[in-house]
Amino acid sequence: MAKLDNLLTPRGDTMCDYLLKIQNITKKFPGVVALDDVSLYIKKGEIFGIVGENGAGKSTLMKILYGVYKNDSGQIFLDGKELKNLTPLIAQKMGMSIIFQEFNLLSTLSISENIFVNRLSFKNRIFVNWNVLNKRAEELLESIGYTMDVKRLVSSLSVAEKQMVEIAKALSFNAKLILMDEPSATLTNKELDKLFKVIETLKKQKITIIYISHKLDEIFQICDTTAIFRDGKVVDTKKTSLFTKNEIIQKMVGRTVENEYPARTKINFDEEVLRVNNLAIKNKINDISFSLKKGEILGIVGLVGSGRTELVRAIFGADKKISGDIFINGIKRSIKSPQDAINLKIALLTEDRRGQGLFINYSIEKNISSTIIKKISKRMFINTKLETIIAKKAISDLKIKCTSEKQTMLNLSGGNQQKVVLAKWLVSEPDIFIMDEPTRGIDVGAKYEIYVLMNSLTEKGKSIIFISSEIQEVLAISDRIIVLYGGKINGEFQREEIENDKIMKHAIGQ
Amino acid sequence: MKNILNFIKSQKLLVVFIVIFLASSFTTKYFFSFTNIINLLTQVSTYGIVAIGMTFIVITGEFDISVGSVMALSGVVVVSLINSYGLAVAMLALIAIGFIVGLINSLLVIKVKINSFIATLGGMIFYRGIAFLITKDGTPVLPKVEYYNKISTGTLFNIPFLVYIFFIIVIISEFILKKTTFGRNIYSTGCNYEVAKFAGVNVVFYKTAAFIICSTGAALAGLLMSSRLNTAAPIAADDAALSALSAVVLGGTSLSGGTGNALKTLVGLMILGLIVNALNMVGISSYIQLAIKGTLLILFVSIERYFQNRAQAVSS
Ligand SMILES: Nc1ncnc2c1ncn2[C@@H]1O[C@H](COP(=O)(O)OP(=O)(O)OP(=O)(O)O)[C@@H](O)[C@H]1O
Ligand SMILES: [Mg+2]
Repeated sequence: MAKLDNLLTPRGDTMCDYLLKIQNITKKFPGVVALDDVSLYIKKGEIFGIVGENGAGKSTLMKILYGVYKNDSGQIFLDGKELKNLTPLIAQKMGMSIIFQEFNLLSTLSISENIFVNRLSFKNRIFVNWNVLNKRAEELLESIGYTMDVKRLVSSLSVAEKQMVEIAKALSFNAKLILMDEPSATLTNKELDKLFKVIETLKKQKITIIYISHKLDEIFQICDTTAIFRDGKVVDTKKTSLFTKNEIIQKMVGRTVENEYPARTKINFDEEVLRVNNLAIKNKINDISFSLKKGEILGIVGLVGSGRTELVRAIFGADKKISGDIFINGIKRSIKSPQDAINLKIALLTEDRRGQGLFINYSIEKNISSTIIKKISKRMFINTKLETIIAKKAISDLKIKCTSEKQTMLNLSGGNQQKVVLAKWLVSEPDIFIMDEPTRGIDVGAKYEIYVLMNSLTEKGKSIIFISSEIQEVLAISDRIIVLYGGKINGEFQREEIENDKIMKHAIGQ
Repeated sequence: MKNILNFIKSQKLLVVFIVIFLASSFTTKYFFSFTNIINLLTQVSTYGIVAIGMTFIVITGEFDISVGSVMALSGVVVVSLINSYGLAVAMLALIAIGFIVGLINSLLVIKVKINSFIATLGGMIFYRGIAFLITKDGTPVLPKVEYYNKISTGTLFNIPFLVYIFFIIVIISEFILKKTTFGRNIYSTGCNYEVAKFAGVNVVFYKTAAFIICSTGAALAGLLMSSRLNTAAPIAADDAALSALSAVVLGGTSLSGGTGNALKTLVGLMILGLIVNALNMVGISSYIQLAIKGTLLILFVSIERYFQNRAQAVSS
């Protein structure tokens, strides 16, 4: 047996070092093979990275390891013991915890209740000791650099804050194996640094981590070993330091990506399409004024909680403003609801995919047409043929991986869901396209294509407001950047003045 | 063979319906008689209209339990008005009742943000109170005009008008829900309120519209019922809300919103109707019938849920 194991392991070590052995796992869904004979060997105390295109099967493997899905064939060994008939509860008991790609929080409960859900009372006591619980929740959040009132309801949190709660929850189990499925997707560098410190500490305690991310820099920074997935297969696994970035991209998407960002040709912007004057939102935004020109990409940078999302929500008419005026093409407009904004050809791609972005139980097709339902109807009747045609075109334009346009959103991978959100706003052909984290969870290759798309939109005279927690992409793509700090504008930079350090300084309030 | 199995799986309720239908035919040789089938259809039609209205509101993720009281109120008001002012005024009053009740319900739910169960529970008590007030001491109002009774019971090809009205409403509703922008926006509002709002759907309008459709359906059912029985009693239709909701849920429309349709509700209604019909035929008392109806409802929904969960576990 030992010999056979030796043959099986691609790295030639003896099997006893491995905390987790994944052997020949296959998982099929109707119409797709999500995992095709996947084998991975993960050492104790190792940080094991997994990268791969959208829909490559990463999340599916995590869900199998945590007992959410059942594998069709193959075996999993944890500490030498085979895991059979796994359920999430058993997985927890075996010492695993997970950060799901899609949040799994109960929005009507508080932060601390969410962190300790189903373990609210300790040591078999019947009553909950709230003081102890809240204190522990606070400590956990502080350890990842976040101080917040743990009695707040989760429904009031921003996406990044929800992500923090998910991370704290995964840490709270004292697990020996932590599965992290894109934990960094909406975090800015500041929070990410903290997360990495925590991961380093865990590593010293011999805790094993599987880390999935589309940000390759992160992989190089913290992962000891990295596996590359492609179409449900593992195409390569080795020590991360033996990979080059280009090699990873090449193996992931099957071609090389020369530059991470397409070149942006400098145009002179003169026509003003949007002007915001003295905008204020209760407790969030204080006297903000700025303008957006035709054909321009305006980047908005700010840390979690700086008010970026609140600002654009208010412009879109989703939140109440205390004061302030909005001018579209020089005409003062009152935008009281998203409907008003859409009629003025404004689109807002929201950061919260599940919260405001997608009808998760609808098909891809119905999601894409949701912004143009009036346009594709004739005298009250929906032209369903046209609906299908538009959806099919969007699916092929954005290379959305799915079995058909009738597939429900729930069955798409995270990155492909994100592409559908993008598609639904693209088909509405907005003049002013506000994008809040448009590339969230999208793979390297597809990201490049989205930047190209943004370029071509602006060439057609559309304007874009671009928000992202990934500061590098904002810096690379924007023509101009405004930096928010504490609900105020703290600096504005033209393209030629853009510099990472300078902007970060303004973002932290200096 | 596989195709048949797949069909059974995807159309479980229809299969249940057919099985019950065939089983019923063994209970008595009269089952397949024209009279009995028409009887059955007539029986389900009034509450059927309520159930179709209820389908709209359940799709938006709310519900309305005031429908029974609205039926009673509308019956009493319509008959009283018809006696002294004629049909036109009575119809106007019917529409006004449906509209105002729906508006109040939606205001309470959307603006005051009261849970729709509580909001319409209040209405349920209130409107029945008014119906009693109008009739002074609770004695039923009798229509004095000859034609009133004919609205429901008049026949064409030996089928009562009531049945035609019901089926026309089913077809129109199904059409609206499936084919029109209005219908799609009703689904979107229930599927995810926030997402719909951000996509530019006037969610407040569609929720309000659904409440109005539901209470107007109930008001119309009130007229048809009083016409059929040729009397309008303030105590009438006290089980309408629960019967309608049972039919909707049994048909497979989820109470959490965003799914379901009029045809499903029709199937749910027919199953409930058939069971009552069969039990009547074999002479089981109405109290025991209630117990059987309740048990079967839970049983069907549990089986449906079980298959759904299994389908999800397999596909997801
Ligand atoms: N429940 C499901 N039912 C049907 N197909 C599914 C289901 N879950 C995942 N799939 C399919 O399996 C494939 C792998 O999906 P998975 O979520 O594992 O991708 P991923 O690597 O995590 O991608 P991403 O980077 O976009 O998160 C995709 O084609 C997806 O559509
Ligand atoms: Mg994933």
